[in-house]
Order: sequence, then C-alpha cells, then structure tokens
Amino acid sequence: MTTFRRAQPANATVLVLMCAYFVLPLWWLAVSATKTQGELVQDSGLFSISDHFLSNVADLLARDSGVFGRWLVNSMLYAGIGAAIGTVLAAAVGYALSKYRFPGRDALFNVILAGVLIPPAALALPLFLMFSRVGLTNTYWSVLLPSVVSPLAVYLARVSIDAAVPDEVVEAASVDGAGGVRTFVLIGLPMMGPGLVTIFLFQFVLIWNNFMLPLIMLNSSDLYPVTLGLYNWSGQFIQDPTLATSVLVGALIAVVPVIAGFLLLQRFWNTGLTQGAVKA
Amino acid sequence: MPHHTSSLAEPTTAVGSASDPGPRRLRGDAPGAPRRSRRTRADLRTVVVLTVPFLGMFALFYVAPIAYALWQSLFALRRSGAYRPAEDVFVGLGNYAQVLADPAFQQSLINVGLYAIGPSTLTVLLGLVIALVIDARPNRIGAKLARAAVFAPYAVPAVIGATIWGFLYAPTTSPFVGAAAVIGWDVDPLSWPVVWQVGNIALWTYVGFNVLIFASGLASIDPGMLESARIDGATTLRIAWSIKLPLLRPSIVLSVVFNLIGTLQLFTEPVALRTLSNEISSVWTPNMLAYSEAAANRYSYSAAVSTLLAVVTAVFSFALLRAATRSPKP
Repeated sequence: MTTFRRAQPANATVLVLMCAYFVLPLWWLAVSATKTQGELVQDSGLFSISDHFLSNVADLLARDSGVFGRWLVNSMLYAGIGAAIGTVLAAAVGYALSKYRFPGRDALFNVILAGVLIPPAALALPLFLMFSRVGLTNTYWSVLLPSVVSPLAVYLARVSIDAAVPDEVVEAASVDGAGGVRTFVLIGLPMMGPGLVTIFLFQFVLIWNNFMLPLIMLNSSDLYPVTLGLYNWSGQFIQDPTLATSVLVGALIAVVPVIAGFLLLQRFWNTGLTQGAVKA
Repeated sequence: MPHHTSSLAEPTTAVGSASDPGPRRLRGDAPGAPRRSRRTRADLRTVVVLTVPFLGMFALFYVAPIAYALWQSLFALRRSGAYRPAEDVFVGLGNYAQVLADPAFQQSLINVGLYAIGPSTLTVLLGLVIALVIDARPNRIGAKLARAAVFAPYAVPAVIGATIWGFLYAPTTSPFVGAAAVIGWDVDPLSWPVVWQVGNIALWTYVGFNVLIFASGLASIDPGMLESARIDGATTLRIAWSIKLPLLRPSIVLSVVFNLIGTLQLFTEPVALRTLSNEISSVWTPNMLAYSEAAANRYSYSAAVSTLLAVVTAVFSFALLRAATRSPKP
C-alpha cells in the first residue's frame, strides 16, 4: 500500500496543472468581461476584476442596433429546432433498427455507420454548391436543414434503445393491438429517457458550435448564428478596437449556457450509452 | 426462448453478422397463416414510416451533395473564344490532376500531416494519461473536479476558443506573457509555428472529449480483475500500464480515428485565429483551400479538393478501423 500512497502527490500535481490549463482561459474570459477596453489593455491580470460587466453587456446589446440579440435567437432556433427534429428522426430509425427485422436492415445500418465517418465539414462545400443551384443559400433553411441529419445520433439511438427498451415491452404492446408507430411514440420514446436527452444535447452543442456551414451559406448578418457574428466582429478589431470588449462579453454569454447544460447533465455521460458506444 | 415465435427480432449488436437470418425469414407464426402476412405487412409499414423521414433527409443532405460535388469536379469553366461566355466543359479527371500538382494543395497536406504527428497525437496521449489518473481514484473529489474541468472547453465553440486564445497569445492582453516576462522568461506565442498556435487551441478543446472516450472504455473493465491484481501486489502504475492500457485498445483506435478525421478536416480554428494572428495563410489546410477556391467562384476546382479530401479521410479511417478489428483483441 505504500506505493499506492506515493503515487498520490504526483497524481495531484498532474491534476492541478491540467485543471489550470483547461480552466484558466475560461476564468480569464469571465474576468475580462468585467473590464473596459482600456482596462483590458492596461491590466490583463487574472485577478483584476473590474465592475463594468453590466455596462459592457448594455453596450453589447445596443451595438449595431441590437444585432447580438438576434444572433442569440438565431442560434437558439438553429440548435433547438435542429436538435429536436434530429433527435426524433434518429430515435425513429434507431427504434426500427433495434426492434424490427426487415429487408435491407444491415445495409441500412452500414450506410449510416459510413455516414458517421463523413465529417460535416466535408459536406459543407458540396452542400453550398448544390444549394446555390436551387437558390437556397443565405436562408434559414440552408443552415437548419443539413443540421437535422446526424448519422451518429442514429447510431447512439440504436445502442440506447437496445439497452433501455426491452423487446418484451414492445411485444406486449403489439399483442394488445397497438400499432408499431404508436408503440414507438408512447412507449419507446419515454423509455429511452436519458439516452434521448444525451442525443439531443450532443446535437444541440454540435449545431450551436457549427461554424463552417453558416460561414459558407450566409451573407446577411440578420441570419447569423452567434459564432459567425462574433467571428465577423473579431475580423474588424483593427477598424474598431472597442469591439474587443463586445466580442469577449458576447463569447461569455454564448458559452455559459452550453457549459452549464453539459455540467448539469454530466451524470448522463456515465449511463450505459457511452459504454455501449465504445464496446460495440 | 418461447418468445421467439413472436413478432419481434432479438437485437443484434454486430454489423451484418453472419448469424443474421435472411431478410425473408420475417415473423414466426405458422408459415402461410393469414394472420402472419397481415402482421408482416403492418410491421413493414411501421418500418417505412419510422425510417423514411430520416432516409429522405440523409439522401438529400448527405448523399446528394457528395454525388453533386463528384459530378461538378469533372467539369471546368472554359472559354472557346475571347468574346464568348465561359461555359462548363467536361474535363474528366483534369481538375484532380491540377489539384494534385498544385503547390498550395501539397503544402496544405504537409501542414495537416505535421499537425497529425504533433498536436493530434499529443491530444490522444494527454487524454489517455488524464483518464488513467482520474480512474486510479475515480471517487475522489479531485478526480470529479478534474473530469468537469477537462471537459468544460469541449462545450466552447471552436471559433470562440480560437478568439480567447488569440487574446491570450497577444502580448498586450495576455496575462501569461506578462507573468512569464516578470520571471525573465520571454514567451511569444505569436511566433510559434502555426501548427502549434492552432494545435494548442484544438488540444485545449478536444482533450476532454478523448478523456470521455477513454473513461467509457475504462468503465467496462471487470473490477474483479483489477482487485486481484491489487491483491497480488501490483502498483497503481503497473495496473494502469499492464492491465488497463491493453484493454483500452478499442477506445484508443476510436480516439485516433476521431482525431485523424478532425485533423484532415481542420478549418474553424485556423480561420478564426487568422483574424488575430498574421502567420496563418488563407490556404493553410486543404479545407481552407477548398473554401477560398469556392469563394473565388472556382467551384469545380473546389469540388475536386473536397472530394479528394473526403476520399483520403475515408480511406484512412477505414484502414485504421479495419486494422484494429482484424488483429486479435487482448
């Protein structure tokens, strides 16, 4: 047991150093959001908290006739609607794959697995080429529609349904005369519980953080999600240095809800979902 | 197993396993019974209703763009005379020959290659070390905090991560550059090689994701095995090296594949950092090259770059997964 104890200080040091590397940039962001432009340049210390946070937020919300609020709403729409529809579609396919045996099932599953290996970044430009032919670029649809499709979500849904929805339950419902789709909606979906939440959250974050697709598709800043809007602002620092404060405060506002959601839902990571995903 | 006569198939875990009965061996009642065929038809209808919405979207927004890019990459804008409008002419694989000979494309491949050897490998290794350290005493408060801390940056959009680090690299706004100067250490991140300027941001963002993959792998190790090793007197380090690490093999492969895909498709971090750091060229990665070609309305050339990149990515990930599943598992 002595060796065990000897390993502890080393472990603790590694953990503290790691935490500093991962957390300090976020801490710096929060501290900087309280400073004016002048204070930011004069004193970039990690602990020199100032008291201009609220006036910074007011400045941010007023800038360019309130476009930041619009970007937040856009991000909510893209990520909220996209992830909600995407999760239900993925759960439906996952349920069919898990509970039914039908012609072409294995082929379907293999195609979806292949889709997992194609990163969305590889699709963004081809999508743009295609959408520009039909005049769909620079619309809400051009970002929302492609975001809905996630092969990874289907895979996760299937693994989660295999684990969470016993065949006997579905079988009993079918003996009682309930239709297949009805059984899926009334019994399958509720039983998936945490799995469904996790899939929704993963997709929400992926869409919220997406950058390349909106960058390629959108011209009007009215349609921008928050990531693209802040990127555009940080490209204009040279003309207008006061944008720096707005970008930092905006970044903080855009980041906090997602981190909070992740941490609140952390216990779901430890459910069978991710374990099954690795084992399979 | 009496319930095998019911209308439900048992779930299979393997993909297209050999033991899968043929698609026609559908439901289990007496063959030819009218009730069975009605059930089968109802089941098929259910499957169609459940799968068609996703499949339709998948075909439109996954398959069609790839097919369209492939098609587009076979054409090029040509003028037949000085005063004639340019028109699309079929050039076969001409664009691909041009892309492969393009010094900008070759350089971008070298850049992501160096990135794969450097920051990308470090991301996997660091993720592995942190996961093993946390797993040595998973219930300690420190371990729980560390897990949350490491994972937090993964929730930060890559653009915003790059913006934060852009400020942290700049001497006027960075607390670290100033603090290092106080102890006489001259640090200037903006003079680092671009691979590491960008790599540091991606490392910060994605180590947590890799820790998550390894943590799920570690969670599926039989605790009894670890307990008996401990009783036999194995040290924590020894257990990590000789038992956990070999058993983590599938997770390591998965993590390497994810990192490789991410590296080949690198785009957001360098593009965002470009607004704050002058060193990064607009065609630093293949994806950036494809983007700037499309922005210049050279769609066919851009499509050829995208297609080549997708093919390289698919070949690498397939080869890795294949190699991993073929060799015997420990």
